[in-house]
Amino acid sequence: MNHDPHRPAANTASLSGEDAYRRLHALGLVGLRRDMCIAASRPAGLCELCKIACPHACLEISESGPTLEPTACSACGMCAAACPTGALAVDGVTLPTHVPAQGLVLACERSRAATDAPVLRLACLGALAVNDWLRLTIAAGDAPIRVADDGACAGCSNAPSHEAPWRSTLEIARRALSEAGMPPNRLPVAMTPDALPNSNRSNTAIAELPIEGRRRFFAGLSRSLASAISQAATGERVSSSAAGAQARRHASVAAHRGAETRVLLQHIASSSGQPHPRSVLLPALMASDACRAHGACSRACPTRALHLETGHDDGQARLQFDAWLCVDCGACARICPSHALDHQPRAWRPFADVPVVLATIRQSECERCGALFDAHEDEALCERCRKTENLARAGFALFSRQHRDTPAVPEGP
Amino acid sequence: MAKWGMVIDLEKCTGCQACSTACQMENSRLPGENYQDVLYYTEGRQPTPQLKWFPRPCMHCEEPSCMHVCPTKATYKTEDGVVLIDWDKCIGCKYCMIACPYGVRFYTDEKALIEPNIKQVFKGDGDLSWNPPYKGPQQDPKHGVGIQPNGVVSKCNFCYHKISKAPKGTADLDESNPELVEYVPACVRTCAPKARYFGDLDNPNSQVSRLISDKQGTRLLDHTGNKPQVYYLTGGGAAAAAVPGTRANKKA
Repeated sequence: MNHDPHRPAANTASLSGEDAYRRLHALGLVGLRRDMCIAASRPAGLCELCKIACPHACLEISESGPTLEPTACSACGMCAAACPTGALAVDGVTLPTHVPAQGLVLACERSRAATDAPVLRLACLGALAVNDWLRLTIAAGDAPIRVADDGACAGCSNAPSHEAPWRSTLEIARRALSEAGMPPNRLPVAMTPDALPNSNRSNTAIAELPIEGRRRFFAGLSRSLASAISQAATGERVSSSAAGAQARRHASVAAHRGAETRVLLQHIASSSGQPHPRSVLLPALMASDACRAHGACSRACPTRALHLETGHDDGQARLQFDAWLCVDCGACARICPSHALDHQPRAWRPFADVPVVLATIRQSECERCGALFDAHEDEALCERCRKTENLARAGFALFSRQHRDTPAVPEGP
Repeated sequence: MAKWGMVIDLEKCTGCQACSTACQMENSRLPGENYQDVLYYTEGRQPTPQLKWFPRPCMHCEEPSCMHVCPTKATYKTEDGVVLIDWDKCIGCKYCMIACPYGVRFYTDEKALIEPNIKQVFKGDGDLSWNPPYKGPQQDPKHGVGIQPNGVVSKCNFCYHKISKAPKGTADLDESNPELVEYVPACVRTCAPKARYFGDLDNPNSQVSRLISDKQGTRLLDHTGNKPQVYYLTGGGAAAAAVPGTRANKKA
């Protein structure tokens, strides 16, 4: 495949109307934003979520990011739904600008369910990420969001395990919504075809919905919410936390999805009179006393979920963790030179304000070179100067031992 | 393929730091950040104190611990035995600096070693950490050569922009050979007492190989298993005594 990801593809405008996405393959319907892709900017193996999500095994991860084998791709959109940074987009996965008052029925193209209510048909409902469910629910207001659950997934090639690919995502969204205070009657719900609103049980014409790209869908939300989301999603953190050139040179990926989820859930919670969601589905990270503020973890973190803050007046370095930006890659725990980090996978945890300070390390100035270092045991010299001193001592011990080998001067009587 | 290595004769070394200065000029380094320095160490008390020293370039180990810990494989070993950093891949995590037992790696972003901060006086274009008034023609981030960009780790590259152009099969890069002088690393070329030798360790007939076997070349911190490709000659330990005395007492 002589596909060059830098080459602008001919027809990119139709990729969900977002032209920053470049097609992975001229014949494929999957588009990638390389600047947001973890696999494209970090070592292979760090993030393979799209590859894992693909039911047809048509995505491979190369050094320059994911590559697509277009002949097997069904454009189901599950890769884009799994992408933690929103770097992938699949043509045809679109959401409505508004939800009609009668509500919305979501169905896949194979579904034969008949209903009077307006229907949004997608190639596969597995294309909807948790954030999409949250947004749809916010946009729907009091109107119901229903999923036509007619068992069509059982024989579908998009669901090799015969488990509906949307079900687990919907369950997470429902739990997240109710934790944020959404009343049960407003949660999106899966229904058998018989339970769907239908007056005459004939295969009614399905009301056409005006559909737009995801970003345009934002605009349909309330203006303040939309701007809050776009602020969270454009990586405002990345530009402000200018750890020198690091942020620019090896641009950390802004974890769009997590930041979006946080804004959406906060919005839902505040509109239902709660200060914040009761519990949230997030990973956890713990630092032990062994942490010596090397900062390797924060550099290895692809999304700047981890950040070592230095330069405080009190001479302390703080290792901060924003769980919303974490994509569970585990790079931090693997790289830590003192094995001080413990990464725990996603689970429902009580809401906590971010960022969390994992460790506070007192820093002092090296007497020799003036560099800031972690003065764990009241050392006067930084690690590098200590190393140099030890090297010098070892070197001279080595050289003088050779010297003593030959003459063997007797010491006293 | 050659396996480049260096031999430093501590009997000859005067600790003059010309190598450090040459390195600084060749690699556009700031004062205090040159890839190679001379370590000084005092031992004993009056009336018999001793001042000792040895130069410390990157050891270009056969088993580089820095390379093994690098999460992005930015540090690599070339076919001709040189350990280099790909600045395009380096994320500046500094794990290699923790792993290196010789302390030869630099991360220069955090604090200016010398005031006023020269990086502010000569501001770098784009990604580069500074804009030296005396820059060399080479800029090769894939091999860690040239002006260092921000946010990466750097270290001695054995002047890879020079040695990689040497004719194939060269046994020794000898600065006294006019045909090879342009390929000799800056520190070797500039060494006034000619204490440094640079050549192919895999070639048993090269001068470096012969020096190591004849004069018992030793490697620093051999217990770490890193197997440096920089060898020190102590002339049977002469360098351990105060060096000026050594030079005076040296047998013809």
